[in-house]
Amino acid sequence: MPTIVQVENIESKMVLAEPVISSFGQILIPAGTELCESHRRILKTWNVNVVVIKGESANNIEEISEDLIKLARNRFIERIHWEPRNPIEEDLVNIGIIKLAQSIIEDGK
Amino acid sequence: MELTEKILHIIEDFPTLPTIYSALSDLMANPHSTQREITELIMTDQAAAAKVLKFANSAIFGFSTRIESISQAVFFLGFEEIKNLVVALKIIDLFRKSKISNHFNPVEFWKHSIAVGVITRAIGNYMGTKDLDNYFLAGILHDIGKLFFIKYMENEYVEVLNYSADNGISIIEAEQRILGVTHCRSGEIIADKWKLPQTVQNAIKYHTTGLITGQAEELPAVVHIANITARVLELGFPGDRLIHQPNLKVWEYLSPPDNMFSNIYSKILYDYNNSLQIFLLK
Repeated sequence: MPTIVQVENIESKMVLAEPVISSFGQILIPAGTELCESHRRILKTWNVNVVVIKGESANNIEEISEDLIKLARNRFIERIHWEPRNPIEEDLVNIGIIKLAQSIIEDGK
Repeated sequence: MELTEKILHIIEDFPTLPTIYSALSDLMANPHSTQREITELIMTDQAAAAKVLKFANSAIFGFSTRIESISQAVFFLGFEEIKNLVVALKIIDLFRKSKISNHFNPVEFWKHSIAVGVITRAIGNYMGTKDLDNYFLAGILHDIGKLFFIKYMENEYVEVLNYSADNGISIIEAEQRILGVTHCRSGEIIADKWKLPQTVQNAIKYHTTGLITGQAEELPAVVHIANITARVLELGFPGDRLIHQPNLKVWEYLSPPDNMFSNIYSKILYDYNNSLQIFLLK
């Protein structure tokens, strides 16, 4: 899942999920680029504050245990009274479950 | 119904949009207006100008370079989006002073509206929509009819919310039964009175189905999905916790990529938290 990262926190080998585009619409660095120190300098030169990185998660999704996901899934399914009919609805339900799991961690409930 | 007539009468007397909006509209309608004149007009309202600048610099618009002045913001965002931002800020100010009761907190309503604004724009942006000018505004204002009820008919609206909760029915059904007017209808009248762009009016009127007399139109369709997504993510509280299933015709019309939500999830949360700070903090 893509994550927004501050330019100063960019680490080498992070991969851009979205291109960096200037205010004039020029692509400064294309999506899929593996970032390195020189990219960080370029971004600073262009006054870029944040970039969108692939795979990493600021929300620690990968740290959510399977049990917690199960609990969140059960609670979420109780809230909606419908079954997903297509992949996009599956995807919508999945982010709902992840958000609920994160809320359970934050609230300790 | 007497109550329905009373509601329609109150809407008639409903405040017009702040003068800065009509002044901006007039200025923008004049082909001889300059960017400088528009900048100067926005600068007459310092509080709004400061927020516009903060917002222009937020990740929502995705500008990589820092926008340092209102003049730059007008240049990068364009006249229409600047006007929409000013009006959104003013409308939130207009309603924010609604009092908090035991039954609901207007701030939670605003949070939901802001979430729908953020998600509407994120979806439009992800799907490569070229003209995103009205997306944020339409999302923010989709429930303006509810905010009207809360501000001007609090007791009756508490009855609507309780009826909806006690009977497990949607707020729209409860509004129709108790008030005789839904928030979509009151919102439509307000949007018309304010002369908001037609596509924004359609989004306010048709966001519950996403369809206009059976046909989909992009902005109302996206607001329909964004409204459900904000409910799925529990961003703010729109008065009930029901999550309706999206309209299949809307999916057919928009045909978004299967993993769209996974891809915009982080951005939604980031932009939402950013926007709350800008819009809801003094």
